[in-house]
Amino acid sequence: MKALPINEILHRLDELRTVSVLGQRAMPFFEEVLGFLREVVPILDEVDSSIRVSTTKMMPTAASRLASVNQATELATTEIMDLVDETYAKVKQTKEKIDLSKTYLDAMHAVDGQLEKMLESHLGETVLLGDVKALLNKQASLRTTMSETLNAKSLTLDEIRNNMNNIMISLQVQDITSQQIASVSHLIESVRSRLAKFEGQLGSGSLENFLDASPPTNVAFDGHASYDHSGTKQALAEEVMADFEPQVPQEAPLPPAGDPNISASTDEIDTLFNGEACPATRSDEPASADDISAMFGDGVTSPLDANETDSADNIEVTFGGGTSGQPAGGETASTDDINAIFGTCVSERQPSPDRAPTSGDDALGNSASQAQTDKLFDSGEGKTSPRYEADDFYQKDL
Amino acid sequence: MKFLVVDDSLTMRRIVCNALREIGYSDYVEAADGVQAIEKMDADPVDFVITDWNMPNMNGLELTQSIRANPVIDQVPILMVTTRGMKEDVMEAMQARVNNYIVKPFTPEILDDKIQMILKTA
Repeated sequence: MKALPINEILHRLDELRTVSVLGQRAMPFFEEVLGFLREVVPILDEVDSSIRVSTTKMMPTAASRLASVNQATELATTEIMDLVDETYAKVKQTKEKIDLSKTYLDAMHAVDGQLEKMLESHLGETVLLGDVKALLNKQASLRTTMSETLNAKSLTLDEIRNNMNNIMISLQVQDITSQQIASVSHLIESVRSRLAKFEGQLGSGSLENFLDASPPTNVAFDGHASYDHSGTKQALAEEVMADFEPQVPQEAPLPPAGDPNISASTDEIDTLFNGEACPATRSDEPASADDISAMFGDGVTSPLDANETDSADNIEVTFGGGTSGQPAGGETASTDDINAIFGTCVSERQPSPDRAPTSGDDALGNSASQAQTDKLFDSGEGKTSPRYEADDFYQKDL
Repeated sequence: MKFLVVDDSLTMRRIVCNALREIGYSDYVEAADGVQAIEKMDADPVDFVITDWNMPNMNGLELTQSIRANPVIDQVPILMVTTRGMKEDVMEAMQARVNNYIVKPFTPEILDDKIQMILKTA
């Protein structure tokens, strides 16, 4: 066995003592964390089950109901359109018959005129001719009345046809509302998928096994669709079209004539991506460690030199935050140093007035009380604990 | 003149076709999305396209861009009939080179006006 110098042994013992002090100081903190977790776990369980019910039962049901609403309205609209088409065809048919009847009446009028002329030429001015003319006039009058009736009927049919057209126009509401419903359905699906992901992280993760956590991406609706007869939107579209001037895509400027093998400079690439060259670096200078630190962190230079391996001292300095007052490399952390790290949350703690210390508490009786836990979730005074709020939410939903 | 009516809503396709009949055009074919429309145009050329914007698989804007990018059919007039009535929407459609734009709900008279307007300038 290799003999160690006494200084080395003392140094190691000092390290062991430091670790022991660290353990003593850290233990109450970990116990407090454990106490907090004990309070939080039941709440999370309830949140988990609430989300599970929402994501597996309520939301899919809501989405499928909305989908069935769309299907039902589309079916009903199709039925209405069938009837409109049928009525439209009948109106058209009736109108054609009316037009034909009017043609017959005109033909009858012509025949009566011919008949009157024939009688005049054969009978001359007789009483019989006068009686026949009176009858023909009466017949003409009846034809006129009939023609007027047919014209009125024709106008009525035009109105019916116009109404049919208006019904067809109004049926566009089905397409517009279906887009609105699809928009809401998509929103529900998006929330459900996010909740499923959240529940997967919170709970057993079993939901992810049978729920598609990604929201539908192939959306084919306009969330802003509205049934507006006023023509305002069309007027706006007309205005935009009138003012529209097509944008000619600008071609990228050609590089100056020269060596085609010269590659783009960093400035050019920066300009391409950012619109301006990066002021921090020049293309002909290599990036320094400071530049890299500034890029990834808060600009503080790492205590580690790039050429050094990570010694235990360096790690201590790194975890010590690199702030002044921390031990220099090569020295072990003292109890004071450890206190400085945990100090604010350990040394300033006061005994909890809520209850007496229990076996799980530290010497000062510190553990997370219900009030403290509640405060974490609910900063408002007089409110119920999250457990009851979750219950209320669940009850309301049911 | 042969029309191609493109809309994923059966209701809207019927309404547009009825309106076309009403204004005197009875030769039309239908497609439920942009992909189907391209297939129909490949199989049998059409003289005029009336398309919706929001459709699955290939929307009306993509269909317009696809038609305009194809030298064989790039001159076919395109009329966009959609619920999208925001200024940006109209500009985007015009930028994609639709010939004209109708915001739903529309009347057969508006449809007729737009078709005549396009045919005059085409």
